[in-house]
Amino acid sequence: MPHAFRFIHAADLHLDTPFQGVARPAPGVARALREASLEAWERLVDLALEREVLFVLLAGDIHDGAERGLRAQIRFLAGVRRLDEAGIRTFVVHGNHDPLDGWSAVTGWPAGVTVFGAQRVESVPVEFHGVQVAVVHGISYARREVRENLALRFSRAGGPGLHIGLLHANVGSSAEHAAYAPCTLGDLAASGMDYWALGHIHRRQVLRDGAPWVVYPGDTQGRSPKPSETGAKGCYLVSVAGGVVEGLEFCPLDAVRFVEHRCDVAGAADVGALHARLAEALDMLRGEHQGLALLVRLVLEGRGPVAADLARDGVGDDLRATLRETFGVLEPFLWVESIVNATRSALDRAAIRARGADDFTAGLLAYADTLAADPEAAQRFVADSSRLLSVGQVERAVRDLEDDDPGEVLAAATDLALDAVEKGAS
Amino acid sequence: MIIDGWWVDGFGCLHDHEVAGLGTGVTVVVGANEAGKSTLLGFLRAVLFGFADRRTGEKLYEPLRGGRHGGRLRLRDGAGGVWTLERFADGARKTVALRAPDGREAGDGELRRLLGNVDAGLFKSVFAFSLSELQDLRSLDDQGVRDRIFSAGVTGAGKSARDVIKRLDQRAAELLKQGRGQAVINDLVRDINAKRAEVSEAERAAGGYGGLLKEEGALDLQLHELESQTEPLETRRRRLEALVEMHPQWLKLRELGAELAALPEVADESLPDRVAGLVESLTGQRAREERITVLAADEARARDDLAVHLGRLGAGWTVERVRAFDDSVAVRDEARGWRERLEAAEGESDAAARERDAAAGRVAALQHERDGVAAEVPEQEPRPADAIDADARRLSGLRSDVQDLQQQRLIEQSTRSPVAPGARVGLVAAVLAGAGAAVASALGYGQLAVGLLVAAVLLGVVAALGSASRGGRAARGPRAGGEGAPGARSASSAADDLAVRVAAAAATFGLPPVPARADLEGVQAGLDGERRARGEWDAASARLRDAERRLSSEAATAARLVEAATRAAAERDSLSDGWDAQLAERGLSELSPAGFIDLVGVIGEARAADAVVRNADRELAGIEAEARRWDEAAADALVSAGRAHVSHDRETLRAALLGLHGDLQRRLVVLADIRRGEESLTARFGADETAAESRAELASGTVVAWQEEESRLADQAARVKEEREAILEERARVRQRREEIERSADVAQLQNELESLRAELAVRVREYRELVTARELVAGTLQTFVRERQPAVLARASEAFARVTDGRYTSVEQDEAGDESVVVVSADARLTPEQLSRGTAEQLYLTIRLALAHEFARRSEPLPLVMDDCLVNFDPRRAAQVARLLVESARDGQCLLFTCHPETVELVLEQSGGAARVIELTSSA
Repeated sequence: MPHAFRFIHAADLHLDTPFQGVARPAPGVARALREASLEAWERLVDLALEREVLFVLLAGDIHDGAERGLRAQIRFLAGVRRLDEAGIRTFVVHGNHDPLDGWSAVTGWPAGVTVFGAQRVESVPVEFHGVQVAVVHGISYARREVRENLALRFSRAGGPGLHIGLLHANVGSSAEHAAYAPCTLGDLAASGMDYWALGHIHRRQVLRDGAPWVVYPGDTQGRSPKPSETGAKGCYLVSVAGGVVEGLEFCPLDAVRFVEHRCDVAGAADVGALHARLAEALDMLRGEHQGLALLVRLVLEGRGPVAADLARDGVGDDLRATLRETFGVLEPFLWVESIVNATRSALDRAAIRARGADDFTAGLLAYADTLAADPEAAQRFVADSSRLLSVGQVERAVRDLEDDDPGEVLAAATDLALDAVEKGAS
Repeated sequence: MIIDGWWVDGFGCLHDHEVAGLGTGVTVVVGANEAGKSTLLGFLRAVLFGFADRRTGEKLYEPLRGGRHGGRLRLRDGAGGVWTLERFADGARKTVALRAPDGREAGDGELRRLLGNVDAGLFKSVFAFSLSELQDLRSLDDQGVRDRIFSAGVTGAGKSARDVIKRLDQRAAELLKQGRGQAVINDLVRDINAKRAEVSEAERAAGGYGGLLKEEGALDLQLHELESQTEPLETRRRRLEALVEMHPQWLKLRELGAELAALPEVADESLPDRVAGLVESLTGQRAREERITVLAADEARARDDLAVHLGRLGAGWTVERVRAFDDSVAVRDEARGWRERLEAAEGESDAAARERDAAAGRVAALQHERDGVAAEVPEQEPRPADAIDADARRLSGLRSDVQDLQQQRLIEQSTRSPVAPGARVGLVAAVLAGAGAAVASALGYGQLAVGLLVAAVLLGVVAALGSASRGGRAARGPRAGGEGAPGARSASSAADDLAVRVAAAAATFGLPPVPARADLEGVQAGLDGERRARGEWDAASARLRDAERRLSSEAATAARLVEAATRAAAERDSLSDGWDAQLAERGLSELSPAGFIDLVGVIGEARAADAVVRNADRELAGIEAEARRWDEAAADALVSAGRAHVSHDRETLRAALLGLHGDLQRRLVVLADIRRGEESLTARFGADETAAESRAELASGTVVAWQEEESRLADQAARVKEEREAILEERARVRQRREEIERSADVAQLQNELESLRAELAVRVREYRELVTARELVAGTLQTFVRERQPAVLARASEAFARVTDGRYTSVEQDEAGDESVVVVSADARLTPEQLSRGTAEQLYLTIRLALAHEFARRSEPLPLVMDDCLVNFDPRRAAQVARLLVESARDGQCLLFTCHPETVELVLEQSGGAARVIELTSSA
């Protein structure tokens, strides 16, 4: 087909990004995590060479921090050089994580690399066999916090071909990410672009599948056990023919994959039975994600006799350690990132409440119910209870952490207190 | 639960002490001092909650009057069931056994439930106390007492809410401690801070990358500028070095040029080679001159020798005859052949003559010897030796037979047995025949002798057979008919036969029939003499035959030698004639072959001398020609070099040639030196235009000036070099740092480590929040319970205390300070327990305990009150009020009141209307 070509749309490479929420990984796991984002980038380059794409679009946040880790810059430069040597052009915009005001170790880019500035939307035509087949429009972030609706600056100009808007933006003000360069689908549709190559939202999604295409490819490598970072991560391989996008093919690039697995503890008589159930589940996960290193968060939920065991100090840690010993040494490894105990106490709360006001446990449960019914009171109660966390260096360290949901804390604490009072503190 | 009874096996002073059927209400246990009341209180506590621990210092109450340490309690539950609780301590081994009303063994849980989940401390503080414990304020002020009273029955595993709080606090403290304590979160925060610092440092280092790049670029620029300054400096310095270095070479070249100009020019380019060739062959020329001298001397000596040799050959011998004479080896060999053959023929002739003469001598000697031997041989030949030997054998047999015969005769005479006449006749005939045969044999009648011998044998045999037949018969006779002396008859017959044989034999020797020993010896001697004679004859005959044989042989030999000697002489004469003919052919005569050979030798010497003369003449001519040619070539070379030579003296010629050769060689050396010098200059200065400048400078400058300039430039270059090296060093440092940063993954690794710590912190913080929130839930609930239920207890205590004090104190209240302590309120004052009198304070504590026990019973399980002499400090009125209070309190429960005061017994009996039970405890219990 005349003028048929392919390009790669990727975003949020966050090269050399530190992984969040992974506590004390084994040395081999830590090493794999450290290399994962760079390896994903190199896989992207390999993919571009293998599939002979015409160009590669990188929609911001190539680097994770304003300082743009030097190692990442050098590896990134090596990658675009490989692309350039193969005649593949690379178009780059900077996002909130790597705005243009950050320093750069790269003093000069290969000829085939276009880094869009922040002053205005630039338009770069792309030719294929001497014929202009596309125009890439793009603009970078000058600084981290860009609250302007940059999409409004885009307009179709520059001749024939597929018009692509390359932008790091938050469409529809997703609460999951900071509202940088906020815009709406309407704004994007009004721009006259044929394809919006967006970045910023790490969860892969196609907001519109035509007129125009509005696509978030997600990040190329999951960064934490958070829901938006789990599952396959990679880029879109976009096929174009006759100036029209024919289809998108998602291509996984991640070197390490975050997976959350929920497990109902009901029916597990004891921790041993639970371990067997979890081991079976992990085997299944390895089968599903064959050939990939996995970081798995196990969420235990439901009610059952083993819930009280799990509430005991150290039981969850031991379970996690045992699973790590078994699966952490495999190749590729499966690392149990954490075990979240979301089980509920097996105590019959209704029966406790029925004991009457003179019963201590009933009094305790009534007290907890009262707090739970008032989120503000619950928040205050949890905050007051953990006031030592608000002192000195501890406070400064805790301040950077994501806040625990007071309701969840209260619920877990209630279970803990009820079990302790009814069955004895362990 | 109430105590229905007890049995003390051994506990302090108590031994085998049993009480039963106590029931509800007040029971007064009365006893004098040392009767065992306090011991009994201890016993009840010990069996209910366990023996005191030796380590706590509490009294152990080991048995003083025998029995196992411990005993049994009968406990009645609310349903009326009776439980049996035994507890014994056998040393360190302690046993406890609870038996349920249905007889089964019950566990700890059931015991705890039976005791309302009260532990030893709470029981001691509220339910079973001595006077001193009543007075102990702390035993009631203990926060745990109230908490446990108010939360009694709420904990399922025998743990109080306070315990739950305590455990949660402990777990929380393991996670976080205030200040800079050692706990998980504290440690993590410290690690995070440290890691943050490391990240900052690594980021700062990475952030310096751009600066390093710039710095490296600036240093490169500096280096470039410095090197651009250095180059002309170094170029000039190198030229100066070269000028100084090459100046001596340049001077040398100048000298060589002058020397070359002084040397002869050579028009003919081949001249140096020609001269060199002549010089090279000069040695040969000298050798030729020496050879000419030697050859001339040799030629003269050879001519003298030739004359001498011709003189030795004699007249008629000239050089020409000598040269023509065939003195070839063949001739000399032929002469030697003649000499050998002639000498051999002469020798053979002489030898044959000598052998002929010797043979003749030997023949004569042998003839003489044969004659002597012939004279020794007797004319009469003796009898043959075998005949003599036959006679000797017969004589030996005869001698033996004679001996046998003599023996048999002796036997016969002893047996008197006559010999059979027939046998005797036969024997005699045989003997005679034998003797006749012997005689015939001896006389040479062989056939007759044989006939006689056969006849003798036959006769003998017949005689023997006859004798045997008779013998047989005789042998058989005695058996058949008993004939006498058959043995004697047989012996006689044998002797007769032997006698016949002897007679026959003796007859052959000419002896009587029975020869005597002497006869036999005589015959033997004759035979011996015959044998000797025969031997001597045989030996002489043999010698004669030998002499004759040798004589004959030698005579034949002598004849052959005569013939041989004759042939040898003829041969010798023939050869001599042949040699003479040979000489004649050569014109010689009367020379033996040896003489001829000598002559040929002299001729050879003459011919050799002649050859020497002729060879020397020939060689001299050749050498002289060569020497002349060399002289001519040398003279030509000199002429070519413009050095005409007129002298014919060879020495002068050679000297002139050598002089020319030396000049030519020197010219070549100078030219080569000049060429090398030019090459050195070119190698040092090059061949470009600057080389010409350098050469010009060599011609015009001075070494001193150049060295001064070079020194100045060297200083300048050293400074530049030093500066350059410093820049290089700095650039290497910057580059190394930049490359380190490029290789480094520090920031990424440290950030990951930081995030790992933060993740760990998040988990621990969440865990901490859950723990402390749970703790606060429990604590808040407990606080609410205490707050809400304590007023009721205080109201009950107020009422009781007002009754005891007859209304002096109206109420017991919680201290407004909120420190959990109480005050008592009278009409005009609020007093703390410390402000009350001892007795009143004890009454206050007692009423509070009763109120607590009541609250406990209401919320959980009623437990017995056990008091040891608690009323001793009360005045009679208040004691009575207290006794009434106790009776009322024990209406649905149980109160065991220990006292040593009979009035207390009376008081209780009075207040209970006589319903109280009294048990007397004696010191012998």
